[in-house]
Amino acid sequence: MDDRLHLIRYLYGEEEDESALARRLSGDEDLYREYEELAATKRALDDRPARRPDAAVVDQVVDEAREAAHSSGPRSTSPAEDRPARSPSRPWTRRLQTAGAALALLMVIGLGWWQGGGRSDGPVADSATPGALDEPARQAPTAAETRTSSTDDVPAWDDGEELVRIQRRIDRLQARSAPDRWGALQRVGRP
Amino acid sequence: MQPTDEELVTAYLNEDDGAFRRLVERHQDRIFGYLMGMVKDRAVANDLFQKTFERVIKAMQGQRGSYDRQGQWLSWVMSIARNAAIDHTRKQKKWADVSQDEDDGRSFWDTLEDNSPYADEQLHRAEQREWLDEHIEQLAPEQKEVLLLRQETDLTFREISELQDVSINTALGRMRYALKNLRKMMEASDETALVGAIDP
Repeated sequence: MDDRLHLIRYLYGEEEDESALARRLSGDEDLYREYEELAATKRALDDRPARRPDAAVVDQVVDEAREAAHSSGPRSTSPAEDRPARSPSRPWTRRLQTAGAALALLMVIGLGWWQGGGRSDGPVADSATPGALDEPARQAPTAAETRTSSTDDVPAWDDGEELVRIQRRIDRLQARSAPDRWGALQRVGRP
Repeated sequence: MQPTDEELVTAYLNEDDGAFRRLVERHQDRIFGYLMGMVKDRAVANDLFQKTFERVIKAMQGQRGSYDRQGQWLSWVMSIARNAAIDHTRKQKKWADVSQDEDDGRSFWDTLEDNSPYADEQLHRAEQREWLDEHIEQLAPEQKEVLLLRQETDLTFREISELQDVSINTALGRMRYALKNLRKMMEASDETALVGAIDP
């Protein structure tokens, strides 16, 4: 570090090796002159009276500090207390809850599947083991009824022949309308 | 034996109401002196002093930020005061064209004559201070700040260099130029005053 920077540290009482700097000062006139100038300026600065904030401002700051301290409560510098030990059954409870939820979900899916399968397989079960399923068998329709109801459920036009006929008609209409559109465009384009 | 800053901080956090007042009163001249040097307006310096401590209290109570610089309470508070002063200076620059306030920060009561036996001495010192402050104001901003931080707040050059995020040699160099430039200005001012006194 430059001796002139050491001078600044010396002026403010931060120089670690003051005796070494004093020796250099005694042997260097320029350095000593600079020291005297800097010291005189520092003395002028030190002589300035201190400035203080208004007493009301200090009171207000202290009041705010008091309110903040009381609203947040005392802060202990000691370590926080340990939390109570968890009961050993806690993980098992959690596992049981998970397993129960999974079982319930499986039961709902199984019930749904069974109900859907029971309706379609009803006549087969009915004919294979008559009387085996009392209530469902009574509710399930016979094969003839099923066929009747299935044809009743489908709209009258929704058979193969009707669909083919409708499709052909659509094709014919499209074939007829296509040249008209083209011709109309050409007519517009002519002078 | 005086309690250290850290002991007072711990006492305050344990709801000792008097501890915070002692901390403020211990350092009020340093913090306020720096703020006054930066903003040159007593009312604004009071306002910034209060804002600084609002932030300090919040941080100490863990509401906003945190105080974890053990053993460097004043240095930490000064970093908050410095930010407040810089924020204010930036705002002032932004509104410089709008504000034409020439207030010197003195209240009506400050302007009244003092008839106490030390009135002359006090007046002389106040004038001397004002005269020096005018010269300090003319220093380059980075020189002025180092001078105010070292002279008013008593932070070490190491702490100042950390605060300004510069090397310690830079901080020392700025201080050296601040003192040398101030010396030149004072000498020039003295010569002018002398010429003015002789010249009819």
